[in-house]
Amino acid sequence: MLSIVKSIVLQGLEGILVDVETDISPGMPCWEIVGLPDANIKEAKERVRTAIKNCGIELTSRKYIINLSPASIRKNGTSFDLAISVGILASLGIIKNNNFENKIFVGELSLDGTLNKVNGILPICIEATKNGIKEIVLPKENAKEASIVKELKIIGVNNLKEVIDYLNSKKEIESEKVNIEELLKNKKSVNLNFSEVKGQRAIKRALEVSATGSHNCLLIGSPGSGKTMMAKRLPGILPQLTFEEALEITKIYSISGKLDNNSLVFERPFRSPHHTITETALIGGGRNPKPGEVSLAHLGVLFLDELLEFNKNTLEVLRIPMEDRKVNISRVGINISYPCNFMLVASMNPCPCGYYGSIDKECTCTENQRKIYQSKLSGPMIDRFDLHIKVPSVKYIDLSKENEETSEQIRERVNKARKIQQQRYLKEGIYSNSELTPKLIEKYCILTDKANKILISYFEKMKLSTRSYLKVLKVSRSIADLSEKEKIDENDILEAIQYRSLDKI
Amino acid sequence: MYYNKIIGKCGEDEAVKYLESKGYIILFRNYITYQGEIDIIAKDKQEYVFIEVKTRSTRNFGTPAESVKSIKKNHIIKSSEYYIYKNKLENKLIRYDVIEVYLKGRNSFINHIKNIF
Repeated sequence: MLSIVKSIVLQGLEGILVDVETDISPGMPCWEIVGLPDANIKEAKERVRTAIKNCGIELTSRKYIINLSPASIRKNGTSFDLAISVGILASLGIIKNNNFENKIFVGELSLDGTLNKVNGILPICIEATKNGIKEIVLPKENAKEASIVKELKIIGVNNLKEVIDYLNSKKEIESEKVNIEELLKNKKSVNLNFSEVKGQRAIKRALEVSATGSHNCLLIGSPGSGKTMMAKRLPGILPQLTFEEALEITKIYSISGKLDNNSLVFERPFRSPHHTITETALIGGGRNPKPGEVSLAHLGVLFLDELLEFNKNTLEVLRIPMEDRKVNISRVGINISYPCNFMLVASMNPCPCGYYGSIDKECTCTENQRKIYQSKLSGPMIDRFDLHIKVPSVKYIDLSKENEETSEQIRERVNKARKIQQQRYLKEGIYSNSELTPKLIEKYCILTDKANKILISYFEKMKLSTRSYLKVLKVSRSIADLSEKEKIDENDILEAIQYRSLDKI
Repeated sequence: MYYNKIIGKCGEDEAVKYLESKGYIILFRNYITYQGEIDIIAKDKQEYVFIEVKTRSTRNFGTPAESVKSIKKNHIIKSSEYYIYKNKLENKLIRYDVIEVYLKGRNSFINHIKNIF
């Protein structure tokens, strides 16, 4: 007998409905899974067979043909186990209910029939609702994550027996529900606080500006001046996530299996990969392309410590994702796009010895050494940083200071400024100042006359690239937002300009 | 060698007796093709059953069923395919069984394993 059960396969963040067609007929006994399955779907055969047997159901010797349609798309992952076994049980007549029209089945089976959790449940649920699915049957462990999607009826089950009983209407299972408001309130406390950083007020201000509009920033300074220390404290002052943003981040973490508490990601991600990282690990890849560090830092911070120690090619790979805010990964027969709207924070020394330009210590490098060292960072990369911050070493007087501003105080200001942005860009579909396109800049970055004059003279003197010009405008918009101003005035523009210290004449 | 053959024959006789007592109809014994040999071909209601009989007089060398490995398995499948083709059984129900026979003096003990492949 033939049965058709629905499941879903993810290609990147995009889901494609798959019909699992099962036919059981007499003839030479065999098990055949067709429709471009991956190795781990081929293995499903053994898991499904043993799991069904261990549920006390005897499988007779027949010809089992399972087709995954559309057969032209490569399928991978272990999430088809449940759909295949339900298809077989329906074909055998053990599941009498044959109405699988608006249901999908997702889950991995273990040999005793227990359902194990699978990755990517949140994007699966979101894509399922887009395709008009009303109900999803999935492992209990995944139910909490799935319940964020309210349009779906979510049936969390522990084992295959429960699925059979549920489909035969012998057992009622309640749809999983969750209170989203409460989830968002649930917050981790900040471990690293800005109050531990003594002095460096200008740098803190710069980081505050960059957090406000999620602008890329480059910290340049001698060893021990606190670059890394301050960058590590950045998560504490990042603005609060909105629900839509949290959903986007959770989708990516769900696919890569990094969702530890099985529900929403509440905090902006802070990723700091080591400088030995490869290109593929950074932007994502593999045969079934997985999100890389840039995507994992989506709507958060990607912190590259010791920027110049990174492989040059690895850094150049970042260029396009930084501009497009998404990465396209192409592999044989598959083309996937992941979002990567991240804020790049990098730190570097000005020269190999680290003291070039320092007041206290003399640099021991030759001019040539310095040139070679700095040439690792290409012009286009420098151009892509909105803020270039020179970090001076700390004075002794500052060290003994107390009453530094705490992260909470800074965060309050940042939050306020970000709220203004979100309200302003409600119709544009963007979240922050850094995402402004030239057209939107014209619309929203309105200068006072005085500010305009300053900008014109600066532009002509420094022979700015158009990109740097736009970046100055975006940063000044963030500065104006921090002081809750409608128009950008000369102070804001001047502050933005002084953050472009690496623009050369 | 001669001794083992006698044991094998003995075991097959026991298996046939057992199958008949269970209501199987024996269609063929020792069906020999170029590809290999099938010990017993029987019919269980609607199902055609190809049976490999393994006989042991001692357990020192593992259970009988363990000795059915991939080469033996291929022999059985290949020759059964020939039988299916000859008798036009393509759309019938088909099953492969192993019958283990333990001989101990005059007594024998039978273990029937259904649906092995």
